[in-house]
Amino acid sequence: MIETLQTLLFILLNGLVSGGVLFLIAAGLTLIFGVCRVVNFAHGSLAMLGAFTTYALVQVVPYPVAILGAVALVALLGAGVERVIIRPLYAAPDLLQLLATFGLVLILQDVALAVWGPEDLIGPRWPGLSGSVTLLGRRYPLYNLFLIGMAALVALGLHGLMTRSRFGILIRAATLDAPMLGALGVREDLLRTGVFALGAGLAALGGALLLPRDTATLTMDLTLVVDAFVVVVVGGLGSIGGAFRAALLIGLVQSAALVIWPKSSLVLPFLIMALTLWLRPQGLGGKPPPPPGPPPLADRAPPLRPWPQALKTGLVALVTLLTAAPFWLVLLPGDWRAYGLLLLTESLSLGLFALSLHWLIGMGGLLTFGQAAFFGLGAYGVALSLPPLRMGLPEEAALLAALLAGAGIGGLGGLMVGALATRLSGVSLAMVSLAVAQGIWSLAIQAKGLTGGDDGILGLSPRGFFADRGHFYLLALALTLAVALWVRRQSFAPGGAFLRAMRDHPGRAAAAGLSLTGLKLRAFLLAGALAGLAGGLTVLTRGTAFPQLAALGQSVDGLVMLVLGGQFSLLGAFGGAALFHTLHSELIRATPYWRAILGAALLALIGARLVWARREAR
Amino acid sequence: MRPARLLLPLAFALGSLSAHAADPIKIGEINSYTALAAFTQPYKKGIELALEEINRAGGVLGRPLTVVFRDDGFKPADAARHAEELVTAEKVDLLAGTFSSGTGLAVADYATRQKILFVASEPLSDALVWDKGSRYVFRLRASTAMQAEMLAAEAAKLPATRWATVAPNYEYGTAFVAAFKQALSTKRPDVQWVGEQWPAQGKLDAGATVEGVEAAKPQAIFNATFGPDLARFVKEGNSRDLFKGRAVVSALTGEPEYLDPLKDETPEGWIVTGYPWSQIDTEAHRAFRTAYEAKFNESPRLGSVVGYTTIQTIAAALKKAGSTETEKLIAAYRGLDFNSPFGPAKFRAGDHQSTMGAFVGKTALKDGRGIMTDWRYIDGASVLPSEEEGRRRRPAEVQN
Repeated sequence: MIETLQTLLFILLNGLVSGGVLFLIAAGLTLIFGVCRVVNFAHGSLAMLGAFTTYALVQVVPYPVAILGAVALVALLGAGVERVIIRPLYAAPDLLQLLATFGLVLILQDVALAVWGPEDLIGPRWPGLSGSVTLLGRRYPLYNLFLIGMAALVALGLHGLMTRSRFGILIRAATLDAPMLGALGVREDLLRTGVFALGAGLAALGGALLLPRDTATLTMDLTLVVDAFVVVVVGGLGSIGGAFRAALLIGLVQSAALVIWPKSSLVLPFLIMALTLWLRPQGLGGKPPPPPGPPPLADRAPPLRPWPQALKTGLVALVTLLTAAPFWLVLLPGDWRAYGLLLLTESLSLGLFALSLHWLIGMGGLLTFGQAAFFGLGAYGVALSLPPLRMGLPEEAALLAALLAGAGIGGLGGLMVGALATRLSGVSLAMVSLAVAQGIWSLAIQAKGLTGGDDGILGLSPRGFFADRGHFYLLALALTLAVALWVRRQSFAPGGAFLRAMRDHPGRAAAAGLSLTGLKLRAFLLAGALAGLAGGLTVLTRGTAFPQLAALGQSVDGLVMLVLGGQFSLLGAFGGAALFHTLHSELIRATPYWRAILGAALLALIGARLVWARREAR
Repeated sequence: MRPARLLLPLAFALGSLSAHAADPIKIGEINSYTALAAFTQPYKKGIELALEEINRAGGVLGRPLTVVFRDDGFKPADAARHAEELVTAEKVDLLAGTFSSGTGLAVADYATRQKILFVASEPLSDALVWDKGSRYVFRLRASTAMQAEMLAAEAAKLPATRWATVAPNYEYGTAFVAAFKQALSTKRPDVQWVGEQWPAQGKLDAGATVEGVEAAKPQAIFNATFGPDLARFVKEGNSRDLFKGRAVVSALTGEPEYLDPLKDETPEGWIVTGYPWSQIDTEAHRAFRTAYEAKFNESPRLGSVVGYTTIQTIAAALKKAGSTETEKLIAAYRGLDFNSPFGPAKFRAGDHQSTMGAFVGKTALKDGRGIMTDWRYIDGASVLPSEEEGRRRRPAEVQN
């Protein structure tokens, strides 16, 4: 009896600790989203900076001072980030905001690497809080109780701030109707800077409070921000009370589940999220989304026009050049054939991946941050179907059948997310798709019997005729060309026109009798199949399939390609993919600080696009 | 005249240049240089030391040795991609490196397809030499099965019969636990396995993990977490008396890269594998340590030894082969005798596993930091199955 009680009490306490930590990290994120409508991808990076700065300060001053110092510094940094990077983006499409903050993630990661080095820094214990107390005859760390207390304090403080103070009232007003607040003469810009600084400070506080029982590592930024995303989505975007309940729910369920089912450590948060969204799409504390209106001006797409004759001629020339690549690559000095064909083949599959995003985001206006889910599904579709197909079919037919299976499974995944997405749009949709992708990635790691886990599936390189890199490249080229031309036709077909109508004005499209649900489902089906085909081609190019293909980095890479080439242009998708892939590959070869360079390039590109868009508007 | 015709003679000219005799022999080295820096940065320094020594002595086959480094970020797909880039664009003569079993297997797969030699320095996975073994892959470190065997021999002497395990939820962790369970249960059929915890690698939830172990009420614990996960587990476990009155057997914890950061949290009396660098007093180790400390002004870690030895074996194999041709290198690596800072060892011809061993001992606290005591070196050959048995565990097509 006493043992059961013990276990229950400790499960409860552990759940409160994990939940408290989750809340500390997520509170700032949801606050910033509520007021600024920006998903701050760099939130985890700010928490990481909080932990690292505290580590540096605690060498010279006691913990409370160090933490306050770190919070102040990071809050200041947050204010600066809002002024310089976020402010010009408020009117820009969601996609650009997300990518700008992701560029910041890349830069901050390399800054931390340059300042603190690559080694994990284990936080010293907090003197005075390093002991433990005896509960029901068992020891429990005092610091954990302190953490629970701090989380509760922050929650109460935020609650008080929101309900009692003028600042809080303004924040709530801004969350509900920011333009009206501006019309009433409130300095909205100062409010936003203030909220961003507060959110950044909360992130830093979370990171700093982790330190005495944890480690400051360079990988904690993405780990923390993805955890925080889940909490924010489950809690309802922008709702602090919802985030609090969601953090506690996830913490408690996780704490109990790990005792009963230890291998669930990776998948659990995403299971909780899927279940919540299924029962309550707007999250625990969120309100149902308003009826769809016209998107902001900056989102409005240029009209789709047929390609002019000159462009068509140019394309024919380009395709001829590409078809001849296996021959002229040999003539380049330094034997470029093998590596050049690899780069070209990869660029083609990534182009298809970017094409899938072009369809969803550029044509359908459906923002997604989890396209890697379909890429990964297609990859595993090929990896799992190829070996049995090889038994019954000749190699060449087996390859094609496997690619078809990959595209099919990607399409099915698309339908699944599409079904979830029917009631969501904008950033909510992006966050949900991201969480689904993280769930599929976790499954790929966890379902060892099927996917081989981290060891992946090997031995998938083409044999026979397509074993030759040149032959396989030509196959990829032919497939890509056929698919790209077909997609181009689709965008002019009635289905494509309906999709664009939904993108440009969902309300009017619905009033005209179009089924938005059906359109979304179809858009996700096609995009899923395209991404699945891209994933399948990637697997055949590399000969291996790993969970990494379904990971967050893959989704982000795709979005960067899309932005590079322009989201509304089919050719842009391919150009962006080729440019990004070549740049990425060569940067990695040249410098260990390629992330910061890539991040800076991303910010510069977004800046250039804004300037360009402004000139267009004039 | 088409531009291609102009390029042709240029290509020939460059082609003939690249065959020049004094060109360096290139090694393509792939590792998790940023994701697991605690191990891989000393590893890189070990490589640099070996390169300096070899090139000062005139290189190998009259050519200097160079290493082209690539960071795989702990991601297998990236590791394989780097391998392809290194071979096709950098034109390296052979591949080396990798940390995790996933990256190791991915590079091994590529090396096998392209018929190029791959010296897997650090990955511990048994699959690498046994059930997914390849003609083109040789592995230096003492594997999961070998270290599990060493630890199980010590664990079998303990009175404990109720055991719980904690290991990261990926190939290394699951394989280590399976190997340890098998080895200990063979020696001690009375042992019961009462609980297991599988925290996500790098994301160990300390409270829940300690609770999970505690709830199983074990008499002894086997741990295979390392790095930040280990630190979290130890901190939380210490303040909750998880380790009081319980024996703990812990893989890799005696390696300075994981022991040093624990500082005064170092739990005492854990049975561990590791590297007691400050106490090894053999001539080979003294020479290595002096040179390393002189060059880098810091003490060596296990990674340093692994990186250093990897390059030394490659140089030895090149010398023995008298060529950089893959087939000749494979022949040279089979049965290659080499000297490591741990003493002489060899690569077994039967399964391509080296016999470089590991140190087993107990952790202790001295002047606020962790050290190993009661340690001894265990020769890898003594914990490996016979070469014939090793060969039989490999796929049929690479048994010859």
